[in-house]
Amino acid sequence: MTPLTVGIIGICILLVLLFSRMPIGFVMALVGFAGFAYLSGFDGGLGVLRTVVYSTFADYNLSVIPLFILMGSFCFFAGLSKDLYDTVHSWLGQLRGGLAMATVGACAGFAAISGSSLATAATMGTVALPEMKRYKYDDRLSTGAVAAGGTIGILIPPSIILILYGIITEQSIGKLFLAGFIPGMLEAVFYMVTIYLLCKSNPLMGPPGPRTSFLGKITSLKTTWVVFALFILVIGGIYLGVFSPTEAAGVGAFGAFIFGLARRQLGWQAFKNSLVDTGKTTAMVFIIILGAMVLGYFLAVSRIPFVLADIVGALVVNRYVILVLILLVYLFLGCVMDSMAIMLLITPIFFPLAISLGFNPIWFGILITRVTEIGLITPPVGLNVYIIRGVARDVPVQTIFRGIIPFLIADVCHVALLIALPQLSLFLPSFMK
Amino acid sequence: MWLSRAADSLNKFVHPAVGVLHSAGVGVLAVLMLLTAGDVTLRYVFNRPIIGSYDLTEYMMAIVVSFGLAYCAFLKGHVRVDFVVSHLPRRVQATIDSITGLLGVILFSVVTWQAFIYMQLLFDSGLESTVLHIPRFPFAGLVCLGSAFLTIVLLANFLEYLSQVVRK
Repeated sequence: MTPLTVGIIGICILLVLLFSRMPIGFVMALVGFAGFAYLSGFDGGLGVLRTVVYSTFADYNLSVIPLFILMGSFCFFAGLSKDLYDTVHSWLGQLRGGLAMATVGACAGFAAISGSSLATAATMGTVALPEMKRYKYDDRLSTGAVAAGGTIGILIPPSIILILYGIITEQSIGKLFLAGFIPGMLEAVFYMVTIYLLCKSNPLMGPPGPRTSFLGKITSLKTTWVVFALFILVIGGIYLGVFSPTEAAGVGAFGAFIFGLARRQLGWQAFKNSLVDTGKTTAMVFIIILGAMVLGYFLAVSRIPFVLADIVGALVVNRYVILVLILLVYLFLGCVMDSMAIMLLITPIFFPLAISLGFNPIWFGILITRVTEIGLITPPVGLNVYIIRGVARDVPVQTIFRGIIPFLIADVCHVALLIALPQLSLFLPSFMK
Repeated sequence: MWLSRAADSLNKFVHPAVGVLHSAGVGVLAVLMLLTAGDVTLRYVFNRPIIGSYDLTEYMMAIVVSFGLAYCAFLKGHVRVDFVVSHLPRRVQATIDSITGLLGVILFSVVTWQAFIYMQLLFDSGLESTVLHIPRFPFAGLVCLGSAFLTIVLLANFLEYLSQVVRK
């Protein structure tokens, strides 16, 4: 058998195991090990396992991951997401659909200090859904806004998915962070416009909430300024080259910790919970990274990525057609798989192809990240939807999925805009020192 | 049922150990945060970075990650694709879980074995960190320990699934 045949068989086995509920990282490591051992000898396979495990875990650059997760976790346990919602609520609440817009705004704010989308959806769900129910918002609008808003977290830095992309493709994490900022903010704007249009065509969907006095608006900032402070400290520090992403993560986590202490919201128990939770998530992420590393050896010897790049490169079609096809693969997988796993699983296959077609690696990263996150709110798996279902027990899943449709349309427009105007992603990184 | 009893007793033995391991790991994570923040502050404010923070970070990461693996598996927290299998009859689900569970046990037995060999190789070669000259082999040993506990947890999970398959 040629290495290519082995590679294709390996990928088929990988897919079968993936859908058999075996942990994704285990599947990737197992298939990677078995395939590499088949092609390069059993001792070679053992050799990969021997060195890769230690070198993946004990990696200085990867320490950015637990530290950023910890920063988000401290903010989460210090109750910052509720404060954020209250602030944006007091600024936008009096508008038609204002509470739903506040949800999206607060999601974007929380995204700026946390790299995880699910935590955002879960907290915003508990905080915002009862409030919208009180003002008789349509269930479709309220749950749709929380589910869609939750996905913003992946694009606005710090983002774990962008870090993983940076690691697997050897791109600058700092540049990726800056590149994600404008698209992430635009995404929030797109969602707010969607809410505005929905409420304009049907005012009963989101009746206006109470008006807050100007003084009330200002005082609502007294707890949430820290979000801006942390964001500017972390991302500004990276932008100006004051510190590396790893150092920024450490400083950010420490800042969030001090903030939680100062607010007396982060007691011993919450501190412990933040750490325990972060430890668990870290292990979860690293098992997938380990799997991706081992699988990477197999893919390289099977030559699949290079052959694919050659075949597609020889096609006489516009390169943007190929780009859209690649994005559709990410979108399709995003519907059935975890976004982190997709990023690590298929990026090594498609990245060389994208580069050979002459696409900018940073821009490509932003695009696939953006498309993958749509999968969080599409059937059948849409993790955010199930998390919201857990919070809003009286709303059927079908209602939530129906509520998401307008936001999906906004998503498609947003992706099209990002493709049409690469400068939206590449403008900020071009200034990085 | 001797299978579920075996799974239970294995869990009873492994649960406290996994908890202790995880607590130690996240304790190191807290120190890692202080180290990184301290290093940056000292460098910019006092122009005195913590010497060897790079070495220390690498060693600490080895502990943070490998000590959390078993805990995450214990909570069945590793990411997986659930939506196909969850629609099947219970016994079929348990059968599939046992097969993939066994594959997991085999995989991490090999990983643990190789991690042990790696530790021996490092011990023999006397490899040290570049700045502080701390030997590397103890940390490779801790990775091996974390991997061993993960394997035991996976074994307990496997026995649990298997007991569901043969249950009348």
